[in-house]
Amino acid sequence: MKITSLLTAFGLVSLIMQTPALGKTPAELNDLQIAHVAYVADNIDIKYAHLALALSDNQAIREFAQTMIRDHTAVNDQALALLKKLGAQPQDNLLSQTLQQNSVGLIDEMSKLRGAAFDKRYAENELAYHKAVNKLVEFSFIPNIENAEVKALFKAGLAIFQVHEGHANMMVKSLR
Amino acid sequence: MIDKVSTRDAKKNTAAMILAAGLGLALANAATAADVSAKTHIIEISKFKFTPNSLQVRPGDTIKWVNRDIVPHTATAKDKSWDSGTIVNGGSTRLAIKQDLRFSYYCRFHPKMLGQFEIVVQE
Ligand SMILES: [Cu+2]
Repeated sequence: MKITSLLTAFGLVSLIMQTPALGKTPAELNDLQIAHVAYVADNIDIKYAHLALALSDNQAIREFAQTMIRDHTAVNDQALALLKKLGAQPQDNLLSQTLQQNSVGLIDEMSKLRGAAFDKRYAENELAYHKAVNKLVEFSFIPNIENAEVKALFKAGLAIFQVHEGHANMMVKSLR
Repeated sequence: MIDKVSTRDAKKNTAAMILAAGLGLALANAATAADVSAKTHIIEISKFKFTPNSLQVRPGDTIKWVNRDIVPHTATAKDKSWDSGTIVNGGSTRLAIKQDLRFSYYCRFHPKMLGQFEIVVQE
């Protein structure tokens, strides 16, 4: 059980480790590429949440999933409003694409599960995913973002996702 | 505060909260003799905290929650006897204080967010 969440976390960590070989580390991304990664990461979590609402009957899981949709949508709306204000477009990049590809595999895997098995897997993935993304945001993105407003938004976003990480941790424990 | 003004405000607030929340909250009709000194207490929701986290209120007072966070929150009685409904970024909601109101509350969206108020009844 632990192994699956470790693997998920590792999957993300290893992709982050691999990217330098291809010429870009997360630290080398520009603000607009970072914004794109964050936008994709938000949308991936929203997709996981929709899967949970389609497959789970567990009230705590459903409420958590609804909070993920509500909060990640709110953050994305703020991000888009800020980019519009700055007259900028988020830039697609390799890290965004790799995140996206990873999520397809995970959705495929999770959509085959039902009942308690799904709930457990979803909760573990939410914990692992928020942990990995928070690490990326805190240590690779925030120190490297140049625009002050973008940086402030990422700091606010990180605080939100840390709350989600705590909430996911609580859920994982309660499902054990 | 003048008696009539605060009474009118309290009624307006009651209507506003029901509208905002879209829920039939058990709200006090705050027009009581205590209105002369009725107060509106503001609780800021920021960084996933209710501030002040704990406060003293009196029947006839109003609590106003203002959400400064990007994400929506709620103020919901622990026993669910009252519920603000969704309070979006920059939005606010009000609750008229009745003597027997349940005073421990949380955010339904983020259950680790807790707050409370103490209802002090005057002799
Ligand atoms: Cu909340």
